[in-house]
Amino acid sequence: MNNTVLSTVQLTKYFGEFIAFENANIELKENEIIGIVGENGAGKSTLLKCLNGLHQPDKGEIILKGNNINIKNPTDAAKNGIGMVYQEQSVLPNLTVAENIYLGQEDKFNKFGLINKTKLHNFALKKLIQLGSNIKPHYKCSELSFADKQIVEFAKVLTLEDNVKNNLIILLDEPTSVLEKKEINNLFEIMKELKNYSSLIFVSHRLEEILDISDRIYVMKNGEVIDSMKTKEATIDKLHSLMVGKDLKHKYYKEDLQNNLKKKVVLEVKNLSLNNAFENISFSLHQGEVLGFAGVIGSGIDQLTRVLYGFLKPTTGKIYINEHLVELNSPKDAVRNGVGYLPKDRRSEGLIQFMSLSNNLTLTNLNNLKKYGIISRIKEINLTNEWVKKLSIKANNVDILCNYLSGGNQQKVVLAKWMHAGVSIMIMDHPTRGIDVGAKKEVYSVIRDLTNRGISIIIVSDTIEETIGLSNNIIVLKDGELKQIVKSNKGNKPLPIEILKYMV
Amino acid sequence: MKYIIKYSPIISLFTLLFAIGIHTPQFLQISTFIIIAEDAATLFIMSTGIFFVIMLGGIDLSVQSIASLCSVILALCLPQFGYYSFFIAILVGSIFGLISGYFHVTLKIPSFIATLATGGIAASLSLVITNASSVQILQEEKHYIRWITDTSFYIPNELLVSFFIFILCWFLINFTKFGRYVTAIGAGEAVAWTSGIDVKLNKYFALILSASLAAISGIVLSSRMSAGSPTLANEFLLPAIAAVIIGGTALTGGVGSIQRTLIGVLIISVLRIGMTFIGINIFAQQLVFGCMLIIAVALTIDRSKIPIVK
Repeated sequence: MNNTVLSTVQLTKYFGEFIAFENANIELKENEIIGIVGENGAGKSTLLKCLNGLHQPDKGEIILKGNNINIKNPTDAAKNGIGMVYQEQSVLPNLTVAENIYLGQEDKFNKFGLINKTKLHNFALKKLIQLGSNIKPHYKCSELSFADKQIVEFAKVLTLEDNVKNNLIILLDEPTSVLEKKEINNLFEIMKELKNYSSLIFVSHRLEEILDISDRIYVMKNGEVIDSMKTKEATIDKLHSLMVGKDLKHKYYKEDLQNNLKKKVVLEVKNLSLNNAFENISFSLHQGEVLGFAGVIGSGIDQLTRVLYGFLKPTTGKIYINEHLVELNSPKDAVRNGVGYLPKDRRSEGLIQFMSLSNNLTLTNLNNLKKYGIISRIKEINLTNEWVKKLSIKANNVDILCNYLSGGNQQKVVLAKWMHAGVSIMIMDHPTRGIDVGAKKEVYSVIRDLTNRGISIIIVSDTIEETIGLSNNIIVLKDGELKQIVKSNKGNKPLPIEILKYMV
Repeated sequence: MKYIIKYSPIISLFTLLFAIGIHTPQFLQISTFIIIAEDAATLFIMSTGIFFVIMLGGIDLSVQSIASLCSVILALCLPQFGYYSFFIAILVGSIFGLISGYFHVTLKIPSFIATLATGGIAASLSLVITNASSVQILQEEKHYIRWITDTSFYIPNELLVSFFIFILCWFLINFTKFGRYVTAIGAGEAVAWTSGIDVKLNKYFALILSASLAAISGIVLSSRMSAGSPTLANEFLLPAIAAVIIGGTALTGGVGSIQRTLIGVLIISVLRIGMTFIGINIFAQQLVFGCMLIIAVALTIDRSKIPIVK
């Protein structure tokens, strides 16, 4: 059999208290494509980023061709022949194709301090031909299609060949998530070609693709590599059940507190479309309901949640809140219509880190603290104390800067902020991302509490289990289309596989 | 270390007083303190305006030109409109704030360019309408400005005016929605926006407030000098910004207070008057302010928060 070129031994990465992945052992052989599968947040992307030097592992070893190496940054990785094609493209639109391909390696073409363009173009052209593309090196990247930009990304990685003699290691982080079918096939052709002189690690949500292209598969779940197998021995069903695990934990998600569906519709969406994101989405949200949005990255759920909070303007379609047609042009409009938003990125959109707990909490509604136009600090402190007690937020005092609170407590402050604003609809974008198990349970309790007060919730979650466990109904999106609305009633929860089959 | 930085403005103030006092004992007299306070009064009014914009995370470079323009407008209007002239001058100032707001908020131009341009327009306008000369406030008009130039209970009225503005702005930043929103936007604009705050409207307000306060400082200054002049408030911009920053308001926004701005202004004024007492060349003053500004920013700025400096 082929030689091992790259392996990780007990590789571990933490973000503060949060475990990205732990004790990961992975092996990559010469001329091989390995696939890594797992749900969002399983740790796949972070693992790749550690191999590329974007993150530093906290424990464990990376062994390249028999040598234990320490990859400090992507330049370091490049020197060792490791290159990465990113999920979000890193092509600079204002430069030409050739300039992008050799970005950061201009020294090679240096002639008396000027760049020798002819040489640069010839070199770039060679890489493009190698990839079977007919893009010209002098094209501006802003004029290229998305798929062509991806080719430029590949060409960039191929330039590593100039520096390293033996075979390259190419890391691919969900390169297919925004591509069309035809473009994906094209990509796979390139990958098969590359395999002749390099080794690849391919991360994707789409199991068919992994089965199609890889030689071996690793399955990750909650930061652990739980299984590996030859692709020949794998099936979609087998991978599914490994990815999501077997049993649903009813108690964990406080299922007994789940509301039965009420008649009253609080939010109705009709034929909502957004260019390049989703099309013709219609659904309704009932009072006290938890509605789950499920879909892989690139399915359009991300944009859909942002449209519902006024961050993005839909191309066509209508949104009704409490039977009134509304236009949500900005978050201000959303808040005015009683919609609150719990962001995925707590630090940049949820709380002002260098402002006190009480000031953050009351920010959404200062009106009921006012007396003759003056904010009453006493009222503010009392009110904050009430919420701190109600949600058992662990904080020494109400004037502590939010920066000093733990992730779970920060999340509770964001929730309190919206409850204080008196919203009737909450959009929760990954509400349990990066918080520990104990804090997760508390967030689940708050969600149940909110729905019992008649607040309706739209939830996008890291894991399918969480979506199923919490929701009354689940909307599944794939490639911008609403594939199915799956019922998830109390005591009659669907299996993860029933959701996944519409997702991928 | 944290505490040293926090209290360094007030420590600096007393160290300065002490040092100058040792060198020139006559410096430590009530009469000198009144001179310092009078000098500080106009600067303070201007600095409070800039304070609000800096709290937002922006900067206002138009204040000195607006103050000069408004001094000219006051002097020109007094013969005809009497007491209404004060309102006219403030109104003109606030219109320039509105223009800055339009450039910065609606056209999305960075605040330092937007206000630099507005300041240029104001400066040029005051040169044009006066033909580049100063306008005297005549003896028979002086009764209009006595509410600024007189003394009540041994205290010069201009001190009372700035004290009133101090109280007003202290209230504004600490106990009103506007003040809370300004702080929130400066500390985390994305969060403020996501929380449903009208970020644009509050930025407009802050720029209009800053320009109006600049107008008031121009009014007080011209009353003291009995004249309006298109260059009256020149050399004010650097000390006004320096005062806010030396007081400990973060240039990145969100952290600071009116009290600190007051201390910053006092430091500047003590320095300014003190240097004359010691006998330092008056032309070297801006040199000292420039150095102090850089030291204050270097001490207070949190570099971990700003990966890229533009």
